[in-house]
Amino acid sequence: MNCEESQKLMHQYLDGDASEEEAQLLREHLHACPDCQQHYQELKQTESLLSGAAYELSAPAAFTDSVMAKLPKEKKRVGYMR
Amino acid sequence: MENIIKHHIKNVKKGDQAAFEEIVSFYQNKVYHIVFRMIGDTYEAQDIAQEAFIRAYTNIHSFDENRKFSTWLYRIATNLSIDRLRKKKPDYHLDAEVKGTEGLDMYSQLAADQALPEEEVQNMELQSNIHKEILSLPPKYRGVIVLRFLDDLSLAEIGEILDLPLGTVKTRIHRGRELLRKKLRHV
Repeated sequence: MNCEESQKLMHQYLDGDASEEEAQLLREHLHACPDCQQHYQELKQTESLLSGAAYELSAPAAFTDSVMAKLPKEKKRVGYMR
Repeated sequence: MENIIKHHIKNVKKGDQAAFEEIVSFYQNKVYHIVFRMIGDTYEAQDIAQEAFIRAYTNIHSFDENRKFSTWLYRIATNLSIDRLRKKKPDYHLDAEVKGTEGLDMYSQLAADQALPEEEVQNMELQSNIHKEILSLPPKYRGVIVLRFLDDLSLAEIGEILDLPLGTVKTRIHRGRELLRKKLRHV
Protein backbone atom coordinates (compact mmCIF):
# COMPACT_ATOMS: atom_id res chain seq x y z
CA MET A 1 0.00 0.00 0.00
CA ASN A 2 1.34 3.46 -0.82
CA CYS A 3 0.73 6.53 1.33
CA GLU A 4 -2.03 7.89 -0.87
CA GLU A 5 -3.97 4.64 -0.56
CA SER A 6 -3.26 4.54 3.14
CA GLN A 7 -4.70 8.02 3.66
CA LYS A 8 -7.83 7.15 1.74
CA LEU A 9 -8.23 4.06 3.86
CA MET A 10 -7.78 6.07 7.08
CA HIS A 11 -10.94 8.00 6.30
CA GLN A 12 -12.86 4.85 5.45
CA TYR A 13 -11.68 3.35 8.68
CA LEU A 14 -12.77 6.41 10.67
CA ASP A 15 -16.19 6.23 8.98
CA GLY A 16 -16.49 2.59 10.02
CA ASP A 17 -16.34 1.59 6.36
CA ALA A 18 -13.13 -0.47 6.32
CA SER A 19 -13.25 -4.26 6.33
CA GLU A 20 -11.22 -6.22 8.87
CA GLU A 21 -8.73 -7.06 6.15
CA GLU A 22 -8.37 -3.42 5.12
CA ALA A 23 -7.96 -2.37 8.75
CA GLN A 24 -5.14 -4.90 9.12
CA LEU A 25 -3.40 -3.60 5.98
CA LEU A 26 -3.73 -0.07 7.31
CA ARG A 27 -2.25 -1.03 10.68
CA GLU A 28 0.70 -2.65 8.94
CA HIS A 29 1.31 0.42 6.82
CA LEU A 30 1.02 2.78 9.82
CA HIS A 31 3.49 0.62 11.70
CA ALA A 32 6.02 0.98 8.90
CA CYS A 33 5.39 4.60 7.90
CA PRO A 34 5.94 7.39 10.49
CA ASP A 35 4.42 10.05 8.21
CA CYS A 36 1.17 8.17 7.86
CA GLN A 37 1.22 7.33 11.56
CA GLN A 38 1.45 11.06 12.29
CA HIS A 39 -1.28 11.82 9.75
CA TYR A 40 -3.56 9.24 11.32
CA GLN A 41 -2.94 10.57 14.85
CA GLU A 42 -3.87 14.07 13.67
CA LEU A 43 -7.09 12.79 12.11
CA LYS A 44 -7.94 10.96 15.31
CA GLN A 45 -7.31 14.13 17.30
CA THR A 46 -9.55 16.11 14.94
CA GLU A 47 -12.29 13.53 15.38
CA SER A 48 -12.05 13.66 19.13
CA LEU A 49 -12.06 17.48 19.21
CA LEU A 50 -15.15 17.60 17.00
CA SER A 51 -16.87 14.91 18.96
CA GLY A 52 -16.23 16.79 22.23
CA ALA A 53 -17.44 20.06 20.71
CA ALA A 54 -20.78 18.48 19.78
CA TYR A 55 -21.91 18.62 23.41
CA GLU A 56 -20.78 22.12 24.27
CA LEU A 57 -23.65 24.25 23.04
CA SER A 58 -27.06 25.02 24.48
CA ALA A 59 -29.85 27.10 23.01
CA PRO A 60 -30.17 30.56 24.59
CA ALA A 61 -32.35 30.94 27.69
CA ALA A 62 -36.10 31.13 27.07
CA PHE A 63 -35.69 29.73 23.57
CA THR A 64 -38.73 27.46 23.84
CA ASP A 65 -40.95 30.21 25.29
CA SER A 66 -39.91 32.51 22.51
CA VAL A 67 -40.80 29.95 19.82
CA MET A 68 -44.15 29.21 21.44
CA ALA A 69 -44.96 32.93 21.57
CA LYS A 70 -44.27 33.25 17.84
CA LEU A 71 -46.43 30.36 16.65
CA PRO A 72 -49.52 31.27 14.67
CA LYS A 73 -52.61 31.30 16.87
CA GLU A 74 -54.34 27.96 16.85
CA LYS A 75 -57.89 27.64 15.64
CA LYS A 76 -58.89 24.61 17.62
CA ARG A 77 -60.32 24.29 21.06
CA VAL A 78 -57.22 23.14 22.90
CA GLY A 79 -55.59 26.31 24.17
CA TYR A 80 -52.00 27.19 24.81
CA MET A 81 -52.05 28.98 28.12
CA ARG A 82 -49.20 30.95 29.63
CA MET B 1 -37.72 9.03 23.25
CA GLU B 2 -38.67 8.80 19.61
CA ASN B 3 -42.00 7.27 20.72
CA ILE B 4 -42.80 10.10 23.11
CA ILE B 5 -42.01 12.57 20.34
CA LYS B 6 -44.33 10.67 17.99
CA HIS B 7 -47.08 10.92 20.57
CA HIS B 8 -46.57 14.70 20.85
CA ILE B 9 -46.59 15.07 17.07
CA LYS B 10 -49.94 13.29 16.86
CA ASN B 11 -51.33 15.74 19.39
CA VAL B 12 -49.92 18.74 17.55
CA LYS B 13 -51.54 17.45 14.37
CA LYS B 14 -54.84 17.27 16.26
CA GLY B 15 -54.50 20.94 17.10
CA ASP B 16 -52.87 20.78 20.52
CA GLN B 17 -50.34 23.56 20.25
CA ALA B 18 -49.05 23.03 23.79
CA ALA B 19 -47.75 19.58 22.78
CA PHE B 20 -45.34 21.35 20.46
CA GLU B 21 -43.61 22.88 23.47
CA GLU B 22 -42.30 19.45 24.45
CA ILE B 23 -40.88 19.00 20.98
CA VAL B 24 -39.15 22.39 20.96
CA SER B 25 -37.80 21.82 24.42
CA PHE B 26 -36.39 18.42 23.48
CA TYR B 27 -34.73 19.48 20.22
CA GLN B 28 -33.79 23.11 20.92
CA ASN B 29 -30.13 22.49 21.76
CA LYS B 30 -29.54 20.28 18.75
CA VAL B 31 -31.24 22.57 16.27
CA TYR B 32 -29.49 25.61 17.74
CA HIS B 33 -26.21 23.72 17.58
CA ILE B 34 -26.60 22.95 13.86
CA VAL B 35 -27.54 26.51 12.97
CA PHE B 36 -24.91 28.18 15.16
CA ARG B 37 -22.14 26.06 13.67
CA MET B 38 -23.37 26.78 10.16
CA ILE B 39 -23.94 30.53 10.62
CA GLY B 40 -21.50 31.51 13.36
CA ASP B 41 -23.37 34.47 14.77
CA THR B 42 -25.35 33.87 17.98
CA TYR B 43 -28.21 36.30 17.26
CA GLU B 44 -28.71 35.13 13.73
CA ALA B 45 -28.47 31.52 14.82
CA GLN B 46 -31.19 32.02 17.40
CA ASP B 47 -33.39 33.70 14.81
CA ILE B 48 -32.96 30.90 12.26
CA ALA B 49 -33.30 28.11 14.84
CA GLN B 50 -36.60 29.61 15.99
CA GLU B 51 -37.75 29.95 12.40
CA ALA B 52 -36.95 26.25 11.87
CA PHE B 53 -39.34 25.28 14.68
CA ILE B 54 -42.03 27.65 13.44
CA ARG B 55 -41.76 26.11 9.96
CA ALA B 56 -41.90 22.64 11.45
CA TYR B 57 -45.06 23.63 13.31
CA THR B 58 -46.82 25.20 10.33
CA ASN B 59 -45.86 22.26 8.09
CA ILE B 60 -46.44 19.50 10.63
CA HIS B 61 -49.17 17.96 8.49
CA SER B 62 -46.66 17.23 5.74
CA PHE B 63 -44.47 15.25 8.16
CA ASP B 64 -44.78 11.52 7.52
CA GLU B 65 -44.98 9.85 10.93
CA ASN B 66 -43.34 6.69 9.64
CA ARG B 67 -40.12 8.62 9.28
CA LYS B 68 -37.72 9.93 11.84
CA PHE B 69 -38.80 13.35 13.08
CA SER B 70 -35.26 14.55 13.81
CA THR B 71 -34.22 13.95 10.18
CA TRP B 72 -37.12 16.10 8.98
CA LEU B 73 -36.48 18.83 11.55
CA TYR B 74 -32.73 18.99 10.94
CA ARG B 75 -33.41 19.22 7.22
CA ILE B 76 -35.55 22.31 7.78
CA ALA B 77 -32.81 23.81 9.97
CA THR B 78 -29.96 23.11 7.53
CA ASN B 79 -31.99 24.37 4.55
CA LEU B 80 -32.75 27.64 6.33
CA SER B 81 -29.08 28.00 7.28
CA ILE B 82 -27.88 27.30 3.75
CA ASP B 83 -30.45 29.77 2.35
CA ARG B 84 -29.21 32.42 4.75
CA LEU B 85 -25.60 31.79 3.76
CA ARG B 86 -26.52 32.05 0.08
CA LYS B 87 -28.23 35.39 0.58
CA LYS B 88 -25.05 36.82 1.96
CA LYS B 89 -22.63 38.52 -0.36
CA PRO B 90 -20.03 36.30 -2.03
CA ASP B 91 -17.44 37.62 0.41
CA TYR B 92 -19.38 35.95 3.19
CA HIS B 93 -16.42 33.75 3.89
CA LEU B 94 -14.28 36.55 5.21
CA ASP B 95 -17.34 37.78 7.00
CA ALA B 96 -17.93 34.42 8.56
CA GLU B 97 -14.45 34.28 9.96
CA VAL B 98 -14.87 37.67 11.54
CA LYS B 99 -18.25 36.64 12.84
CA GLY B 100 -16.67 33.51 14.19
CA THR B 101 -14.74 35.69 16.58
CA GLU B 102 -18.05 36.58 18.22
CA GLY B 103 -17.99 33.03 19.44
CA LEU B 104 -14.52 33.73 20.75
CA ASP B 105 -15.74 36.89 22.47
CA MET B 106 -18.63 35.01 23.93
CA TYR B 107 -16.36 32.34 25.37
CA SER B 108 -13.65 34.67 26.58
CA GLN B 109 -16.19 37.06 28.08
CA LEU B 110 -17.70 34.25 30.06
CA ALA B 111 -14.24 33.32 31.23
CA ALA B 112 -13.42 36.85 32.37
CA ASP B 113 -16.74 37.46 34.12
CA GLN B 114 -16.79 34.37 36.19
CA ALA B 115 -13.15 33.94 37.16
CA LEU B 116 -13.24 30.31 36.16
CA PRO B 117 -10.57 27.76 36.94
CA GLU B 118 -7.71 27.69 34.47
CA GLU B 119 -8.83 24.39 33.07
CA GLU B 120 -12.25 25.72 32.12
CA VAL B 121 -10.79 28.83 30.58
CA GLN B 122 -8.56 26.63 28.44
CA ASN B 123 -11.50 24.52 27.41
CA MET B 124 -13.45 27.62 26.38
CA GLU B 125 -10.54 28.82 24.30
CA LEU B 126 -10.30 25.40 22.73
CA GLN B 127 -14.04 25.32 21.99
CA SER B 128 -13.88 28.76 20.50
CA ASN B 129 -10.99 27.72 18.25
CA ILE B 130 -12.85 24.66 17.08
CA HIS B 131 -15.93 26.76 16.34
CA LYS B 132 -13.87 29.25 14.35
CA GLU B 133 -12.19 26.52 12.32
CA ILE B 134 -15.49 24.82 11.51
CA LEU B 135 -16.80 28.19 10.30
CA SER B 136 -13.75 28.67 8.11
CA LEU B 137 -14.73 25.58 6.10
CA PRO B 138 -16.68 26.08 2.88
CA PRO B 139 -20.38 25.61 3.78
CA LYS B 140 -20.70 22.34 1.87
CA TYR B 141 -18.11 20.71 4.12
CA ARG B 142 -19.37 22.53 7.19
CA GLY B 143 -22.80 20.90 6.95
CA VAL B 144 -21.58 17.30 6.94
CA ILE B 145 -18.95 17.94 9.60
CA VAL B 146 -21.47 19.56 11.95
CA LEU B 147 -24.07 16.84 11.52
CA ARG B 148 -21.60 14.00 11.81
CA PHE B 149 -21.02 14.35 15.53
CA LEU B 150 -24.47 15.49 16.49
CA ASP B 151 -26.90 12.93 17.78
CA ASP B 152 -24.94 9.93 16.43
CA LEU B 153 -26.39 10.45 12.98
CA SER B 154 -25.46 7.81 10.45
CA LEU B 155 -23.89 8.88 7.16
CA ALA B 156 -27.09 7.77 5.42
CA GLU B 157 -29.17 10.06 7.67
CA ILE B 158 -26.81 12.94 6.96
CA GLY B 159 -27.38 12.28 3.27
CA GLU B 160 -31.12 12.37 3.82
CA ILE B 161 -30.96 15.62 5.80
CA LEU B 162 -28.77 17.37 3.22
CA ASP B 163 -30.36 15.66 0.23
CA LEU B 164 -27.03 14.25 -0.93
CA PRO B 165 -26.06 10.78 -2.16
CA LEU B 166 -24.09 8.71 0.35
CA GLY B 167 -20.94 8.84 -1.79
CA THR B 168 -21.01 12.66 -1.76
CA VAL B 169 -21.50 12.71 2.02
CA LYS B 170 -18.42 10.54 2.42
CA THR B 171 -16.28 12.59 0.04
CA ARG B 172 -17.24 15.78 1.85
CA ILE B 173 -16.53 14.30 5.25
CA HIS B 174 -13.10 13.16 4.07
CA ARG B 175 -12.22 16.57 2.60
CA GLY B 176 -13.66 18.47 5.56
CA ARG B 177 -11.78 16.24 7.98
CA GLU B 178 -8.52 16.79 6.10
CA LEU B 179 -9.02 20.56 6.10
CA LEU B 180 -9.71 20.54 9.83
CA ARG B 181 -6.78 18.23 10.52
CA LYS B 182 -4.44 20.87 9.11
CA LYS B 183 -6.09 23.62 11.15
CA LEU B 184 -6.46 21.77 14.42
CA ARG B 185 -3.26 19.75 14.53
CA HIS B 186 -1.48 22.27 16.75
CA VAL B 187 -4.21 23.04 19.25
